Amino acid sequence: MPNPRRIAATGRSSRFRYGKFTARVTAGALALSLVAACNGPAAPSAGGSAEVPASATNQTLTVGVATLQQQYADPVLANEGGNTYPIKWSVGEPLIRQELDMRQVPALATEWSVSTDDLTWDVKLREGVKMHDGSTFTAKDVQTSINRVKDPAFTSYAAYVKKIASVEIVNDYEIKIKTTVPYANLVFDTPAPVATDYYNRVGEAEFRKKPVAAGPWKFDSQVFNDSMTLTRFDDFWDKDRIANFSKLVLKIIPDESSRLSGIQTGQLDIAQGLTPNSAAQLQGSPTIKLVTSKQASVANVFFVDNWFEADSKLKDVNVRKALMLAIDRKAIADSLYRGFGTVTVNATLPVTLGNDTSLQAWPYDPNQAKQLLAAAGASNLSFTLHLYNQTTAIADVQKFAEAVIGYWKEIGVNVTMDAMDPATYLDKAVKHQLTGAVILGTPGLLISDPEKLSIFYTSTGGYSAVKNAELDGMFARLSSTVKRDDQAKIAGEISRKLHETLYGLPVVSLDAVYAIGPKVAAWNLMEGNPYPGPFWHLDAK
Amino acid sequence: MTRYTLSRLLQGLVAMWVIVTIVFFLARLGGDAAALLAPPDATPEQIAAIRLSYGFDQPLHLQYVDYLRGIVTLDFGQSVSYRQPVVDLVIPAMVNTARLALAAFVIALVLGVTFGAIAGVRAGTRYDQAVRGLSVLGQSVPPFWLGMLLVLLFSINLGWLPAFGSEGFTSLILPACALAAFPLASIARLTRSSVLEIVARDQTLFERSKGVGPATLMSHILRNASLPVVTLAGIQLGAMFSGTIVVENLFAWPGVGQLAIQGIQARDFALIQGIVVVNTFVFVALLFVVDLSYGWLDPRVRAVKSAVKSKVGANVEAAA
Amino acid sequence: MLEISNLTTHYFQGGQVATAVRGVSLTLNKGLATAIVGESGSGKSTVAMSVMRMIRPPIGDIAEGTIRVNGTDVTAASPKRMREILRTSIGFVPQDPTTALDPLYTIRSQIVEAMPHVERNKRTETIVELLTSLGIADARDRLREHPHQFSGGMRQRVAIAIALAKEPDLLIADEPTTALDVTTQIGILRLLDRLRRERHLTTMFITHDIRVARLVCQDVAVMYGGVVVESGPLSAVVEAPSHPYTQALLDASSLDVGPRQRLRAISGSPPTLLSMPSGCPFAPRCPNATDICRSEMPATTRKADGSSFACWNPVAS
Repeated sequence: MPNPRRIAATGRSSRFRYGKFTARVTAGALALSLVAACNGPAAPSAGGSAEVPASATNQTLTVGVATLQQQYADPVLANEGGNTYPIKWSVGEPLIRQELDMRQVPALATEWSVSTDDLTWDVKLREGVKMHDGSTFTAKDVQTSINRVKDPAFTSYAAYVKKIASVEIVNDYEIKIKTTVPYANLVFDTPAPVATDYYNRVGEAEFRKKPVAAGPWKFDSQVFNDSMTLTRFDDFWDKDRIANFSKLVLKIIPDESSRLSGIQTGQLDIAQGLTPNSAAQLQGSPTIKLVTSKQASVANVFFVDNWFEADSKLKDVNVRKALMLAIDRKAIADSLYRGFGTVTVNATLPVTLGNDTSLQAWPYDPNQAKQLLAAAGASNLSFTLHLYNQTTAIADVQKFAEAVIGYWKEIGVNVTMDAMDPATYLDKAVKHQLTGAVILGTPGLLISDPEKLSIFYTSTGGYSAVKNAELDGMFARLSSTVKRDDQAKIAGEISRKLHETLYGLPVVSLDAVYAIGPKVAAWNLMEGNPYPGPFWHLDAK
Repeated sequence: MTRYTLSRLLQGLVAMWVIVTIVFFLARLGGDAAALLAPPDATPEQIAAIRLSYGFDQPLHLQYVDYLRGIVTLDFGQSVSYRQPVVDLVIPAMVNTARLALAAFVIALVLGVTFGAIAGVRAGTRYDQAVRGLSVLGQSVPPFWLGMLLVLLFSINLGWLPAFGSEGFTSLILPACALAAFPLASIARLTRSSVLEIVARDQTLFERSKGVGPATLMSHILRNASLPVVTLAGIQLGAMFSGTIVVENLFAWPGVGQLAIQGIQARDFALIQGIVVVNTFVFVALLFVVDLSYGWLDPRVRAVKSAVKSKVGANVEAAA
Repeated sequence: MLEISNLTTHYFQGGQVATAVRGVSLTLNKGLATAIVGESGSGKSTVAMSVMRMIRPPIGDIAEGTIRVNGTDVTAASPKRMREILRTSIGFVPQDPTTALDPLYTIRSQIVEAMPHVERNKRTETIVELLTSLGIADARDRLREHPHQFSGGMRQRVAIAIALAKEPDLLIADEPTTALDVTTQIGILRLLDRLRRERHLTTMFITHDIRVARLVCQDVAVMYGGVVVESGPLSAVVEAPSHPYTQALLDASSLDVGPRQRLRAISGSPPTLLSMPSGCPFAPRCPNATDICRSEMPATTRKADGSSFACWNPVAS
């Protein structure tokens, strides 16, 4: 068995009974005198010991996912945020991939180096790799993929394309890519190679419907808003990541209670995206186990007043600090999130490159908070907290907001809650139409790259909460630095700076919770990843 | 009859055009789609490129002409979010919705008319009270809650039926039942009151005076009572065809409702337009069928032509 | 042919029991037309509906008495037996053919339903013959037409065809001309009279208009407040009414009244079903009423001319 970390089922014995799902169906259950389905004895926290047969060829595993976003089968298109990644990671195989601990490791590239001016990348490619159509992978397939995304329709590659100067094939297994500016993540960001001959033969439209790439899973078929079916690719170059079963169905089930039903009826083998309350319902089931990806996303409060010129008490770091000290984050993590949450130390997570591990979490100290407020002359502080009423990034986001507002009220801060639908909210946030404070989730997967924090902390970032020249400078230096070690140093500085300035409060980080059924023998999750997949070390019984 | 049919057809086409046009302009009032499609850190040049590639740079009236031409040739353009031709998305979704809607409709119609008719004929009895009570319940129970209850009972506890999915007959049963509850209840209520009204009419007394059996009597009552029910049923079916987001969501049913939500969230013009056009078409077609069925059920509706004849009849009468 | 004895019929109205007919006894002579005359609410239609057993719970019920049609007591007949009697013995002509005919069915199919005994292939011929004999021209061409394509008078002829299709012994006509144009009324009345004679139909002719009754009927029963106050041969009753109500009715509809002469109306209004006096129902409006009238129901008295009446203080002849 090659994988050190086997399933860690959460064996906690807490039995809360008044969860969201419970409340919604309890009345009906009582009316019909039904007995809740999962009332067996508490299961031991096993999982790691399950036997994994070498082959379970005829098995199909079905994963119930909340969303696959636009459901692109094409691993190159599937770059529109984490919910499309299951395909990016399954059908596609990139040049560099992330390991389960989010380290970047070689995939179809074996070596890469950058010229002294930091502008020309020389990438050596893996030999003997088969594509899904049986063709052999070469440098041409990398070039084809890069040329494809030059079409502005590939919106998620716009920033990438802007920095590409030229692509030159040295030989079948070596390629040179020139950039216009130093671009540390160039190789990592390069789209997954696609089978050139096939692409040229069928054309763009057909390729999107039936892509051919080099990932561990072949695209088989899809029904929009229903499911995507993948089959195992037996000739995948990395034998460790070939599953022992033949078919993987990603079934889109937007409603959480339906995913919960699915895992209970056995229609699903894995249910993704469970809120802590539903997860608590499954605890104690003899057949269903819970697995978690720790600290998969952070629930943040950003003080967006810092982006505007106008005066605001929230521009005072002591006020922001007071607001941080006022929140009993441990209580939120343990009660609201039933232990599936952790007090976040800093805006950068353990999975973030260069994260300063010496930093200490801000304590819960309402008395000091009150003193700080009084000293800052902000004792009767009031502002509006804006939020989306639903998001996959933060479970029970409205309850979270209520809890935070409750703690602030205890130190005399009066906060109005303003919840709206996600589309409206994110649109307003991007356009800086919100003042006061906003709630946003930051997926661990995203901010494993510290540069991505610039979205929130530089003056031109998409969800920018602050205009601060010092931070702008740090992120500028970070993005023009290509050496990993240098990047880590700058990221460490950023990490400390964010910790002390508190433009955003990383309140708690939440685990991604999956329920897995009896047909699953083993599954290793990617640390800090709130999105489904990658389905690499997943095996059937 | 042909004239009647033609005028209905024309009305339908005009209705379609109006709706299709409204949708076109409404969707464009919602904001800059190109900016929305672009990543948060996109430059103005990138946004301009996106605008160009989707034709958003064209003057509005040219976009509109293109749009109308597209509809006529069943080409609704490309979905900007799914990056697929809209037709390939909407038609399969419509087929799925139709399957669910028709199944629910059959349940609602057969049971609704049966329960309603018996309740109407036996007005005041316990059976009638039960039907009335249940139809109030059926109309007030949220489909979401009913669906969850059905899943809890038939999927989780009894294990008889799948909790969701869209393959095979068994997966159709629970969502169809959840969806059928409301129209069933309203059809039952309307059938009951309609039957009650027909039963009280002279024509029923006269029919009974013939000494006909219960089957013949019932067929007279039901056919007369069916006129308002047909209207209601048509509207209910139309509503079900336009997608039932709640039930589709709960049962992970890949129908038009879910597609519409995705389209709206992504401000996917082409997709929203495609859905609305296809939906409008279905709705107009349904109303057309409902109108035609009036003519079939009620000879008075197709009476225009025979007005002459009845005048002749009156003259004969006067002469006699 | 039709013998009603001691019939009492109730209606159930919102939990209350309303007595529409109280102890009515009436015999219809075979082959003759008997008018049942009375104001609305007098119970005259209820008698007809009771004969056809159209009053059943939850609407109402026959509480007492027997109704013999050709010797069979319909009050005791099973629903199946009752349908058979309706199908073979009783023809019904409705008040308003516009509301009585089913607008959605062709007239042929509506007539066919009333003639199950006729062989399938002879039905069209029989119907055409029947309709023609009732004065409907082009009957054959009009079989596929619907009621709305006919004029009011023609509709009533269709309704009469339905009543006659079963070749009944008893014909019940419930104000058959009230809803028609004045010009067509007389035609229908003549038709009914002719049919009675040709087919030896025992006819129950319900009307509020004693003048109409005089045109087509031989016998009469005058009803007031759910009871028969006077009955017998029409000529005898008209010539020498004994009951003050009959007298008043005749006065009110007098054919001798000349132009500009005032018709005498009956003062007061008829009792409602729920407030029926315990004595003679006409007592509150009766000019001859005495104390006994208000407390006790008068017995029926037979007269030499074959008529009978129920009154404590009959009109002096």
